[in-house]
Order: sequence, then structure tokens, then C-alpha cells
Amino acid sequence: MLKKLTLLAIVIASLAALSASAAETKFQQPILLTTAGQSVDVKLAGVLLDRLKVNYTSNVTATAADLTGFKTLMVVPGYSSKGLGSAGVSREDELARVRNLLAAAKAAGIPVLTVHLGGKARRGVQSDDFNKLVAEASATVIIVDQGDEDGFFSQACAGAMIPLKPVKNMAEAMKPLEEVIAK
Amino acid sequence: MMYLSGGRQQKLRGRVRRTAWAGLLFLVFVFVWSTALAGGVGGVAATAHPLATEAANEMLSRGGNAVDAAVAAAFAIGVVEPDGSGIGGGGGMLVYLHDRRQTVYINYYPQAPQDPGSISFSARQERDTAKSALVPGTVAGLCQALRDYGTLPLSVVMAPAIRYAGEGFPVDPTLAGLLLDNMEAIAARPPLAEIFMSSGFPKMEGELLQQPELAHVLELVAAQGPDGFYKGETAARLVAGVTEGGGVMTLADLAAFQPTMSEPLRGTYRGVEVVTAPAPHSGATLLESLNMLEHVEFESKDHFTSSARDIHLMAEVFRRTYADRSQYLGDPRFMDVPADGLVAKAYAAERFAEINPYRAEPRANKDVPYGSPGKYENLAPASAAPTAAARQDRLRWDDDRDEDPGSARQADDPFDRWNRRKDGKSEKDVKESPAQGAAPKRETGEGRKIDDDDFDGGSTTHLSVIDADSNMVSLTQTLGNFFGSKTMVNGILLNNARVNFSTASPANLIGPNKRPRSSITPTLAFRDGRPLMSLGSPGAGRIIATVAQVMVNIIDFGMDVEAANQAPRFFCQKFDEHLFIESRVAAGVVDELKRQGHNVRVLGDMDLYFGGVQIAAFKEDGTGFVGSADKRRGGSASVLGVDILEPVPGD
Repeated sequence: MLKKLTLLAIVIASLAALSASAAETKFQQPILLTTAGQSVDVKLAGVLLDRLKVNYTSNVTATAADLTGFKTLMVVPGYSSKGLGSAGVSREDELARVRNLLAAAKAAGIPVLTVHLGGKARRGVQSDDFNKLVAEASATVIIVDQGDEDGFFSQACAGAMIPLKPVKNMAEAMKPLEEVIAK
Repeated sequence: MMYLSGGRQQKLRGRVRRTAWAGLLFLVFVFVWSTALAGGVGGVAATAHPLATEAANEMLSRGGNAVDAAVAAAFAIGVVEPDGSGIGGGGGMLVYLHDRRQTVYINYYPQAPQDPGSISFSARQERDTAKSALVPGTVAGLCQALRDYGTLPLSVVMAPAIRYAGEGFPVDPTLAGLLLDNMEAIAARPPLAEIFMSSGFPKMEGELLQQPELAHVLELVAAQGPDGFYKGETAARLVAGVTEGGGVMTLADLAAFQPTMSEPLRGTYRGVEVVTAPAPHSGATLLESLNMLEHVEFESKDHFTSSARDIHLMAEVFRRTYADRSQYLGDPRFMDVPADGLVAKAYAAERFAEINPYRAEPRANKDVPYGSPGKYENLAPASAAPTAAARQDRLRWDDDRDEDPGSARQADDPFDRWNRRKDGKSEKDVKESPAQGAAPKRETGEGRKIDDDDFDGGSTTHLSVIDADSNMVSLTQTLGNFFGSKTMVNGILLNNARVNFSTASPANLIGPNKRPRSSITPTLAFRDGRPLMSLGSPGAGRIIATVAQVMVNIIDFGMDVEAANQAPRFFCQKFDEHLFIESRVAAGVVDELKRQGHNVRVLGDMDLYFGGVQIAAFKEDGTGFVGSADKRRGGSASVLGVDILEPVPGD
């Protein structure tokens, strides 16, 4: 009896794992890389993609029209007043741009991959509007774990059953990226 | 063995009992006294980093005075907040000695070399190179302050800084954010990358940051005094590093550096005496602003940011005082500064009368004229008054972002000084029109409407200390922009203070051994002759307006120092296109400001852009101290070892 129950548990666990992995999106190339909040973190994501030799284009003010030809939208959220100033946009403008871009990606069936690299430096009132907006529209979220110490991203992802992949630091984000991006 | 008679034994027992009681009473007294001391009777320090505050407390606990504590904190903050200040930079220190009722200002801001003209320099294009470095003054200034007014040995005072540099410290949230923001500049420079990055990425909050080379230099200074920096091994390396980077600095320049000791500026604001930094630092502009603000009857009862009218009047004040600052402040060792006129109450009345209470006038900040303070003092106006050519040029220069109109802005640059398109088209027009193929080439999507430096939030640092004897120190020091010239030599990050000189403003031209104008405004306040508070802020051009607003909060609105420090802020001046304001200000107020003609830009709710004020103060009832560290910038205020404000990072 005990053996049967153990076997059943293993089968159920395997099925669950299988279905979970099946639910995970494989992100196709080419990728459009953009920021949500104009922090320089988007350039760090570019370093990771360079190291993985991924086919991507970075456009920090990408709009719906820029999605043409891309199979994945990768967004790096994080507010930076310096970045917003350099781009010449207000916070409200930036929120509107990101909101429209995400809606266009959804309409075009382009999956969104969120990579939050800045840790606690990209949390707080200003960043979290961008973080929430992007995370909830994502197919997968990769995050440096100190950015989720309070469970902010875990909660946002749990509600919509979005896979959340925490890593210890920025360099380690390369591993889950390699796993989720199709060759 | 000695035998005593019964009577003597009784007497002895009585004596022992009395001694025991006296001892017990003494212990109770010591306990009560020390508890009171910990509760805030011994001193207060407020700095931008808990470890620097700890360094100050360590000195106060050893019996050191406010100068010992401030110097310890200043050396320490240069290590744990390496982006904002350090021994490669300089600053200004206001010292008040209560027993002598004496206040002195020590200017140890970086100084031009003897031959600054031997290299060409573009402030816009070469600010992040060794060419922008001037002769550092931090070591000379802090050592002189300690020698003249401190009580502890240099080796003791520098011990915390050496410890933090050698053993390392965990990166705090503010530094982590700045490392991210400046990642590209850091990554491109191996000596910086080695210190500030791990595995090719910026260090994150909590990671250990060690600076062994810096620790070595600090040890040399601790052992040899200023000679450990300005002579010998360190000096030789500095000269070699700067020269290799295309800059100019000689062994003689380093050996000749001396801080300037001078009388501070004095004024009053609604009965409170304000003592602040003289030229070329910006106390005169603070006093001029406060003098003009005395003419404002605040409409709002709780805080000026709840009234568009109040903000409008303050903005109009700042627009004018910043224009005067740019026109008249310079190094007084090389020119006559009309300081008495600038801080004269009558001059403020004249300037305030120019303000239209209902709308921004003139509409554009850049069109705000400077005034004529010369007639309010016995000063030959020719020396500081603008020439006809300078008047022509007056709209083209800036103060903290001075540039050479001839070289920095190229003729084919499609943008003017105010980052507007010269052809009058909007960015939107250019982006949307396919015919504009010849529009400025830039990386995809990256615009340039506002200089990065406008958003170099809190570069520089401030710390305030008061000790048990009511001595006070207000100290602001800097590397210029964040991470200075981005040039690290021998573990020392060098300043980029050369950008603070102007190429168009006659008052602030570079010259041999001259010090540039700076926004730093360390300030002390007194009420009825009694010391009241020490305060100041980093934040480039915002410093003066920020300090003024905090003083208004305390003096006009009766806020305690903590509430005054965390209240919403705005910023407006002649040399910015916008009126910047924190997002906590009500939308209705913002709309009304726009209707008044202000070009408003809303920033974060607690934005580092508006500085990081550190306040040390006496309690209103005089029973002890209070301190406040600005939440916009990770920091801590501590009343002799008892933290009263945990560091909360700005976003």
C-alpha cells in the first residue's frame, strides 16, 4: 500500500512538473530590448544578451511600431530620474509608452520577458509602478532576488501564474536567460 | 592582626556604612548621568552614511569636540560614499567655537594649478577626464581644522576611515543605485571597475567594497599629516596620473596648496541669525534669497507647497538670486565680490519689488536679469560689474555647468544652450517627419533634451555636528559630479572641479591658483545669540534653494527638523528650463503653477535631485539635541550613539 502511494505521488509530481515546464514560454529571437523607467539597467541586460550571443536590438524608447519583426519583447524595469531626463520624457510619458507597448505586444502575440536586475536600487514608489505594470504583462520574470525580498514580484507573478526565476546577482541572470531563450 | 576596641569598631562600621552609601549614591549618579548622556545630552551628528555618523560618534565618545567628530566623519564619508566626496576633492567647513563665540570658514575647495592655461579644456566634452581635475584640498583642509580647533590626534581621527577602506564595508542602497547609474563610465575605466564591479557588473547592495590603495594613502596621511598626500610617494603618483590623462598638476602645485581661512557671511532671516559660506561659495545667494523671502507673506498655513502662490513667489526669488550668483560670485582673492550689496536688506527689497505676484515674468527662466547690488555697498562697481560684452553673453553661461560657447557647443549642433532645436522644430516634428533624415544622429530612441548633469542628483555630501559644549560644524565637500573626473590614481578618485569655472562669466574665469565658484553652502543658525542649528546639503545648483526651503520650513512653518527635512521641495533658477517639483505636491498646485507660466516638471516623490540635507540642532527647550538625515539620500542622524533615524534610501 505504501509503495503504491509513493508511486502515485511520484507520478503526480512528475506530471505537475511536466505541465509546469510545458507552461513556460520559450522566447524566440530576434528580441526587442527596452526599458521601463529609463534606468541604465537595460544596458546591463544588453551585456548579458551579448554574452549569450542573442540576436537583439535595444531601443530605450520603443513604441508599438517598433515591434515589427520581433518575436520577443524583453523589458528591464527600473525608474531613473537621470535616465528620464536624458531621454527627455516625464515619468507619466514613460508609463504611457510602456503601457501602450505592452498592449501592442499582447495584441500581436509577442511574449514579454521581464528581467529585473537592479535589486533594491530599483524598488520603491517610483520604480514599483513600472515593476508591477511590466511583471503582470510578462510570460516569465527573471529577478535578482534582493529585488523581491518583500515578495513584491512573487505576489505579482503568483496571481497570474507567471513563472518567476530568482537569481543571486546580475551575472547569474545569464543562466535562466539561456534556458528560456530559444537558440 | 590589629584589634580595635568596641567603640572604635562601632565607629569604623559606621564609617564603612557611610562610605558604602556614598559609593552607591555615586554609582546611581553615574548611571543616571550616562543614561541622560545617551539620551542626547552629549552631541549630535548627521551625515549621509551611518558609518560616517558612527565615526563622528566615536570621536564624541572619546571626549573629542565637534571638530574632531566632523573631521573623522569627513574622512570616513569619503571612503563609504566614494561617489560624493573624498581626499581627491575638496569642500568648505564652517566652525563655531562656543567658548570664544567665534566662527571661521575654511575653504579647501580644489584649486587651479599654477599654469592652468597650458592645456585646452572643454567642460562639456572632457569633464570625465583627468583634464578636469584641480589640485585637491580635502586633506589640507581637514588637517588644518583639526590642528587649529580639534583636540584629538590625526591618527585617532582617521582610524575609522582607514578601517572602512581597508576592511571594506557593505554597499548601501544609495551607492548601489549610483553604481548602476554610472555603470558605463565605471566599466570603461579599469581602476574604477576593479573597485566598484564584480564579474563585470556593478556591485549591489550588501556586497563588500574594499579600497586597499586608498587605505594605504590614508595611513600615510595619518602618519605624516598633509605631507603624506601633498609630498612624496602620493604626490608623485598623482602628478604622473593626471599628466598621463592629459591634465595639468605639478608637484609644486600640490606642495603649495593651502586652505583659506576667512570670516563667514552673516545675515538674518525673520530674527534668526544666519552664518554661512562666503564667496566663492554660495552663502551670499542663500542670504539674498532669505532676505527676499522675508517679503513673502505665506498664504499657506501648513507648508508652502500647498499653495501655488507661495511656490510662485519663492520661484521668482530663486530665479533672481541665482542670476546674481552667476554674475557676481567668484574667488575674492582675485576679484572684488559685492557681497555686502548682495546680502543687503535694501537690495533684497529692490529685487523683490520686480516680482509679478501673479505670473512668471519674464516667462523664460533664462531671460531673468541680474540686479545691481554695487550701489548698496562701498565698492567700485567696475571690478565686478559686467562689461558690455559680458552683458551680451549673459544668457549663454551657466554656473555649475559652465561651457565654452565657442568649443563645447559645435556649430553644427542642432541644439542651442537650452537644448532646444535651433531650427525651432519640436523633437516630435523631427521624429515623425521622414523628411528629417538629416536630423541629429543619435542612438535609437535616445534624446537629449536635458543635460545628464541636471539629474546628477546629490553629488557632493554634507555633514553637521554639534558637541556637548555647543561647538558646531557645518561641512560640505565634493568631487564635483558623481565620481568626480572618473579618474582614479593610486586609489584616489580625483575631482572634476575645473568644470565649475566659467569661460564666459567674468567673475568666474579660471586663473593660476584660483578656486572656482561652487554651490556649496554650509550654514549655521543662532537665535537670540544662542546656537540653534547646523545644516547644509549636497545637490549641485539645488543646494542653495534646498537649504533656504528647509530654513523656511523651520522658521516660518514651525516644523521640527525632521518634518522640515522631509517636506516636499521644488527647484527653479535662471539656468534651468523647468521648475522641478516633487510628485507629492498636489496636482492642482502643479496645474496652477503652469497657468502662472512656469514650465513645470514633476520628479519623484522623495527625489535625490533635491539634495540630501543633514541637520544637527538643539531642541527647542534646550535640553538636548536632535538631528535629521534626509531620506532622499541614505544617511543617519545620531544623538551620541542613539540612532534616531534609520537610513531610508531615496528612490
